[in-house]
Amino acid sequence: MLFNSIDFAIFLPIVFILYWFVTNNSLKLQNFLIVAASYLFYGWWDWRFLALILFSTLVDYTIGQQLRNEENKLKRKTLLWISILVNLGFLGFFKYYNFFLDNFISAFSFFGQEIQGNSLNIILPVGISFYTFQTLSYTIDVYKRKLEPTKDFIAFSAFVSFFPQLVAGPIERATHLLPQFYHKRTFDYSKAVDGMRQILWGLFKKMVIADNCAECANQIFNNSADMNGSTLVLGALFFTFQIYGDFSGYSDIAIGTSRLFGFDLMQNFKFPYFSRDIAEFWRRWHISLSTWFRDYLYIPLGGSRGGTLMKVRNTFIIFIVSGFWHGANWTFIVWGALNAIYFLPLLLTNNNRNNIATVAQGKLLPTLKELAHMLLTFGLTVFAWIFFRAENMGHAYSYISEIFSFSLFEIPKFAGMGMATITIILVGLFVLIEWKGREGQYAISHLGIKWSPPLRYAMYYAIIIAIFWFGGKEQEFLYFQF
Amino acid sequence: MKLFIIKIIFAGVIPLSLVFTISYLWSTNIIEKGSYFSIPNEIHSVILGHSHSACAFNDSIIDGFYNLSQNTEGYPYTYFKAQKIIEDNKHVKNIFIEYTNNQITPWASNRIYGIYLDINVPRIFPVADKKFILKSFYKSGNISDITNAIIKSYKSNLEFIISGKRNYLEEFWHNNITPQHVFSADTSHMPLDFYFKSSEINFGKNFIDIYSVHRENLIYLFKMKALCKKHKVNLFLIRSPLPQHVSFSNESTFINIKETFFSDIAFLDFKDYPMNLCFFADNQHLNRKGGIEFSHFFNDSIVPNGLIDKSSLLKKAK
Repeated sequence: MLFNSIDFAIFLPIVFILYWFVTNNSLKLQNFLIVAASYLFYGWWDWRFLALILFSTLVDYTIGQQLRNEENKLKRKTLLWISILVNLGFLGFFKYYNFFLDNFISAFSFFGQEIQGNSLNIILPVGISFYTFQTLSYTIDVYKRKLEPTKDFIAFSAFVSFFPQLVAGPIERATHLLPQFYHKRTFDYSKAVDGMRQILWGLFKKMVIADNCAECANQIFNNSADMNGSTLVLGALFFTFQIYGDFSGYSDIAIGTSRLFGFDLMQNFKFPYFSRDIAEFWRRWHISLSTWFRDYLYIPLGGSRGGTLMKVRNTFIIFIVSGFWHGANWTFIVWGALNAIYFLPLLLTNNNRNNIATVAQGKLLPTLKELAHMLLTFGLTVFAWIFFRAENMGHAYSYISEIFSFSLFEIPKFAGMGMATITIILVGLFVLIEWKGREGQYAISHLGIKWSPPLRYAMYYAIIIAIFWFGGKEQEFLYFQF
Repeated sequence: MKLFIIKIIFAGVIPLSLVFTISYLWSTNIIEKGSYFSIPNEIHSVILGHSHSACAFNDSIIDGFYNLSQNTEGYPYTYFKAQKIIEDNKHVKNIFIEYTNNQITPWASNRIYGIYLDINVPRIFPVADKKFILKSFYKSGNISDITNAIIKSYKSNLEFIISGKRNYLEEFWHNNITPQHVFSADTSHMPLDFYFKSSEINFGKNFIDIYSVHRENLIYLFKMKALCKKHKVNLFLIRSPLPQHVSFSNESTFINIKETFFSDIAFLDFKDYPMNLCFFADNQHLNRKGGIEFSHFFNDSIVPNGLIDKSSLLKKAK
């Protein structure tokens, strides 16, 4: 079920009413309702893959129980590895089987050896990369004794399958989300209103910004061979805002929906395109995944504690794995490696934590230096997104080659220029609102709070009308495929 | 909690629904009652139908013709178009309707309330019978498609009114020629079996059961006949060119229906009109080149020779 669909618009109020009016006297019942609603939400897409979630839940719950009483280090480690292998095994099979097979065959044929292998027609279960990492965080934290294993199977099932963030995050840590299922939730008016506001903004990002940018970006990327350099730059810019609007929009809707049910999810995006360097960008982009890799991969590998070589190795590992997490394609790996290259100079010169606070905090405008740094970081990010969006490495290469040609100085031209002009105006307006609200949790979290109610409502109505007017037919969220 | 729900309902749902409904009805009424459906006086013949005729007849080549066919269109929607055209354009004397094999199959329900609901409804919403639309929504049962249909038709209405354009017919029926991807398909460099894999298009067994399956689509063809008779407009059925190797499993039923129910209607059948495969986009549609080639033939040979004269055509058929 998509957040931007009518199905969800019907589903959400029904679950909300059942949750607060029918099951509100029993924590168990409320948690059970969340599990049932989550399974319905997921099954709406493909009920067959519910078995995967259930199996993953059962495995990690059982391993958690075993770890509770197990003191033997070797046995504890074995249990942890069983969980890792089962979860990553599913992920590997569904997401990476064909990629590895094709690359093995290509590698052998490169050395003159012909081997046979049959690719499988595998459907990638939606959200598998997200809930797999979430359940793994539980087992790893229990193994590290950071978290007491839960005895409450329903609460654990609800944690694994919690519908607002099941298919595209934020990837919650068990230490943060699971305890919220143990305590009775009480309805909080201001939290619910804030949740609604965040949902509204998320829908705007998705349906107005991302979907319109998607139409322009698709036209340009799909016909890149016929486009001049300046149009290709425009295509990369459209994709840059598409992916941000799409993914951060989803996160906003997920966080807002959770708030309606009395839950707090972690912030997943903190206005990343206003970053002054790549290190800051990665502290602000897909925070739940970056911190997951930091906590469960980078730090166990030694982090930045060792010598230069160790730092370089660990940085490349974390960025390349992060790229590979997004999809089984060399383009994602190169995108990850490119970000590692951007990041390393900052790390090696100890400048990676220069920009912690929000840019131009408390001020209307940034300084010229800040602006220059933001533009440079943004430019590097846009360049990296070309690899992320390209169909394959050949496509990325030809796309970039054409950009760095004389045609870069021609006027952008493609069939959808009319639509592109409107989209550019919308994106411009969007950037202004994001800039104004960059110190909040999301752009409109404080916007208009002190205004008189009619003015505030006028703003909400304007956003709703914009969603209605500029929103096209419902489109899947990009991150569903990851 | 109660305050939250009350605010959502009274500050959000109710005012927005009211504004939406009122402006929807208002905009529909303005378009419906306005004179936005005029066709130039020199046009005496209008072609209607789905993608086959949309691809086959290039009206910039055929003198006195307007092609208002659009992809996916079922006969009910064609009927509503025809009704408005005839009522508002007394100079239109001939209506040509694409009558082809896939219009009588059970699949034709998709053209009425199935997967193409949200394409068809927005195009004709201001001129359609609202009871029919409601019935189609009910039959569709797909909330997502219904909502899309409503929103898209509302947006078309408002866009039309706000933009200050004067001709709805031009904007949404004539200039909105479809389907573009078929027009632009160039198969001349493809191996023949790339696009033309099967030589028989099989519609399955159910097509024989015409009364229970595709009855509704045909009913509107009957209605079209009555409409043209009432307004003394000539009605023609046409079948656009198809690749010569293609045959249809329901051909005998197709001819049978024509002979039984529409024997008094002239039928211009170009199914076997010889055209090279490079003029086709696929097994059922001419591409842009094919449309131009065929339209030249139609303009140069059919129109001047009086073959669109109903009586001579019927005589010839006999």
